[in-house]
Amino acid sequence: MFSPFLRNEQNTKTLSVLIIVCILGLAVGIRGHSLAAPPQGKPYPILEPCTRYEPLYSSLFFKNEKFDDWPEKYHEKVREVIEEYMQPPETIECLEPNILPLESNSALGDIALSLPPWQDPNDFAKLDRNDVGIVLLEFLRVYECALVDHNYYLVLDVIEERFKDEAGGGPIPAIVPSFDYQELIVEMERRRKKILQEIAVARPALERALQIITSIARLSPLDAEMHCLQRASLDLRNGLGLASDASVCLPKGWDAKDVLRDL
Amino acid sequence: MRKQLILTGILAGLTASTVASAQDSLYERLLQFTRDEYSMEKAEVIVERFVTKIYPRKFLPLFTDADVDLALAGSNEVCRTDDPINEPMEQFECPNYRELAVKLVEKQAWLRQVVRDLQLSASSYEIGIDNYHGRIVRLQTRLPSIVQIWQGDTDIVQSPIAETKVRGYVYESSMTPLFTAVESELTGLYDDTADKKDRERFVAAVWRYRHGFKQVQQLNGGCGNDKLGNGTELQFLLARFCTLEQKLEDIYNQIQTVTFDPPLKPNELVMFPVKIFDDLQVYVWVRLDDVGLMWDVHLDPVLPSLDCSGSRSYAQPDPPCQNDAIMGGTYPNPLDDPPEGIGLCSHPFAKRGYLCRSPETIRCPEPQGSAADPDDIHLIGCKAPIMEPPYRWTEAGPNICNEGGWRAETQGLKKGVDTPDRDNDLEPDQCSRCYVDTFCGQCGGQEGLTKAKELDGRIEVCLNAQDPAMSTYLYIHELVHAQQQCDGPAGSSIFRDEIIGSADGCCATEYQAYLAQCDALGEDGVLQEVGITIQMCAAAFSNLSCGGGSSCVELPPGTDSNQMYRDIADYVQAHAAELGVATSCDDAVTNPDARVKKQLNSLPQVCSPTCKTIYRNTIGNNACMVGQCVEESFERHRMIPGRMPITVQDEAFPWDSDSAEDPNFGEFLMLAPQLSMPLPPYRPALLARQMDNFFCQLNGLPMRIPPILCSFDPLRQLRSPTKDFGNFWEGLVNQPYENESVRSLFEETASGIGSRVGISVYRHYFDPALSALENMIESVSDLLRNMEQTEFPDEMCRRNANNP
Repeated sequence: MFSPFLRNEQNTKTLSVLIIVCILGLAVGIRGHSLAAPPQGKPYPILEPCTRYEPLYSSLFFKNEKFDDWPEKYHEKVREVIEEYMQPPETIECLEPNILPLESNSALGDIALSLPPWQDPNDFAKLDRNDVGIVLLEFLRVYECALVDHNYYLVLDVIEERFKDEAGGGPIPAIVPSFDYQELIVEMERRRKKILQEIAVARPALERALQIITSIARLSPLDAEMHCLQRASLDLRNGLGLASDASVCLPKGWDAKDVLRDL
Repeated sequence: MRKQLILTGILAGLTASTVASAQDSLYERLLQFTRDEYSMEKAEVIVERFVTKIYPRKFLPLFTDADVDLALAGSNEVCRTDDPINEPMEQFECPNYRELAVKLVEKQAWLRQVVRDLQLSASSYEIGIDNYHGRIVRLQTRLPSIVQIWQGDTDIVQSPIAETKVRGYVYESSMTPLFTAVESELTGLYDDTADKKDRERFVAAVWRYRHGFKQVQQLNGGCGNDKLGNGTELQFLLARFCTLEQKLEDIYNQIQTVTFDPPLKPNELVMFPVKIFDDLQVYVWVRLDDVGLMWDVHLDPVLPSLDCSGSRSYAQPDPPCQNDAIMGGTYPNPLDDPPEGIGLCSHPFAKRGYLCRSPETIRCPEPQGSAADPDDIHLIGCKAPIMEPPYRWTEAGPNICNEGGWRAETQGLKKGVDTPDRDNDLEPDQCSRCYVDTFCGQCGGQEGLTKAKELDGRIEVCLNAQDPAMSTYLYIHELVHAQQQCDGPAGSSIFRDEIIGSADGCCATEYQAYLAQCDALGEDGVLQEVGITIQMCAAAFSNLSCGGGSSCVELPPGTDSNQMYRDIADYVQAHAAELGVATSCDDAVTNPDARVKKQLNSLPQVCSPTCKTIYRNTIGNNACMVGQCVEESFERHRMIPGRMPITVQDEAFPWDSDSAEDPNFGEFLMLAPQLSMPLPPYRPALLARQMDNFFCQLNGLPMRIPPILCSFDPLRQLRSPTKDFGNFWEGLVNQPYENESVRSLFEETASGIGSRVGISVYRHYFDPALSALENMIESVSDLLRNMEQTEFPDEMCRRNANNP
């Protein structure tokens, strides 16, 4: 049947390779092994999409805020987390496996809950105070993706926003009479400049900040352990103090007298 | 696009004015710093002034400070001539002249950026390891606190370590105006020029006094030129800020008036909480011996100075100062190595660290086959001379906390006062089984002698120090012998004849006494000056007292015990006043040292009814109390009715077996093994070599000197030309960028690696040490729980097996 294709050895080899590749591809495809799909039991994929329109990012500021507010919102959130981290921990759970738990009402907890990897309560529970680095880096990644995404669709986004502004909350008009292409170009240029600056600045700034605070992060568990040992030592001291008070009662048991006592 | 961004950043490399104010948080300041790096709009005010001074006037004769920003913005307004009509500028000339200004700014900005990045790398490690209480991570102050909670006062004999004693103290409210004055002086060092702040002098002032103002005065004398430098690039490393110094000195003078209760020991440090100025991100640290400043977060380095005008410098040396600008291109004079104990090594915890130890502190040869390297820096020395057991010998029982002193004064002699003469009128109270009568005079040819306990409990201690200033230390030694005999039966000479009289017994008893004596010498800093450890001191003198030679322990070859004693005695004699010890035997007895008093206070019984016992509340002292009370109870009293104390013979009567079952509390206690906790050596030279080697390997090159040669090999592409000339050309052009990405990755990770190496040194020590402490805490906690469960009987034991 394949005799036209089997005229020479080279063609045979090529065909064999192609068949093997197809079989393998089919096998992989049938298994559904894709890093873009959520693994079993998790709501988010291993490779998250780099876009701001992902439903998992619905609670983040770039979904709802105006573009001009994005840098301020992002940097303000990061600033809050870092300032919070620079303060000594409020809670040290000496008797728990995680002695520096992350409080859900903290700034870091707030950001973590808005990001897909930690939206699941079980995953969130695994975080501790010193995971500030990974949470902020993920937040940065999502921010950068939003900027890149916006830059890619800049024309459409600006036009869409213009039409929405014109609609003022009502139905979006088909035509905006006062629409000026020159204004569109200027606005695009302004946004692009800001996007470029933010992309150039956000990561180095965060890396520098993390460089400073990660030394604290590395020593913080040790410091917390020492704090717990200090507290335990104080408790022991108080306990032994009570024991020494009790030992003063020993004389009451001395020399229990009876008729056979010689000494 | 990424390449364009990188190029934009590098080519721009300009710094804008530091709009971030001192109140900005850490992240805001870093963000502003990063934005300034990438923006193309404004230059720092210092760079602005510098460029204006050095810009060639033949191109733009009217160039001023304000033109720098205009040049950066690409404005043609900078291109003004002083005669625009007769000498107009050609249109094509302006961009070139503008570009020259931009390049001048760019060069300075690049250098300042590099210095700042280096500072960030250093800060990434240093912030977590500050020395003072109140900082972000407080490891260094927590450890002494834990030791103080645990340590019993008899540790001077049991486990002598000449730790620096540290005491904390709180400020009084009268100090607040003094701190406010310092804060306002620092704020005044800012130079406000419209919207651009000049922090140069403020930053320099904080760094200048980071090791304390007294040290600056000690090294550089009186303060002359206020807030001015000497006109060189590094002028602000040595500048003085006289008003600020005065205000720091005001704080210092105020704390000298504080009275400490109990009085400070020799060499005891007093540390006060740090005072943080939140707006300035600076804190004031205060010790009894010095006051200084430090950054809350070290972000700002002292940058090479560019301005040598009269407003910044008191001198204008040429070179490098020309037209009030400090020109580059010259190497400054090499800085001298700081003297020992100066700078970083003047701080109480830092001086015990790696950077403040000389490699020569190892005083004994390393065993063969050891991995020690001459470049390694060790924090620990050799093991102490290994004493052969027995280390301690008692007449009966463990005699818990017997030697050394752990109690405060309560009851004492019922009658009489111990004077330097023989006192026949002394009478002990009902709490004591002995009393000490100290006598300064001939001691039968010896410097000190403790006689056997007499029938009435009198123990005569004779002192006749050859060097009178050694009297206190001798007194401590002899009192240990008194303590060893105090609880023994009166009138017997078991202790003196059978124990001290034997070779092993002499070593055991004398070693304990010398441990106490040598610990006192170590505590006062004497042994450190002479250069021996406490254990070496105790072992050597034990040999001297018990027959000489190596009678108690084999010392390292060349050790001369007699010379050692002479060195110590000479030092004490010469420095008695500053050590605060008595200078004569009479003085030592009449005004006993605090340590001697503690020993005397520890002679009475602890558990006798109507007898008070007062001691410092620590775990060790509480354990001493419980232990001594239990020992007194079982050694001298019968807890179960019968004939003899229980420790002397087996059950005297059949009904002894009617006692409650022994719960075996503590019998199977698993105590943490006494491990030696070696501090890992620090190998900075090896680490640096490994980093250089790795850098070369990343670029596929062998190790080269200097390692910077590994960052780019121009011959790489030339050695492998491609067939196509276009590709070859492109390869040649692009090859720096291939190495660049590796270099920048390496640079970014290097500081993190360095930080991790530092932290791992901590871990190597703390892992076993804290585990041992945790095990100890668990064991003690179990003991306490068992004690809580002990039921005390409310009925007397039966007299015999048949009677109820």
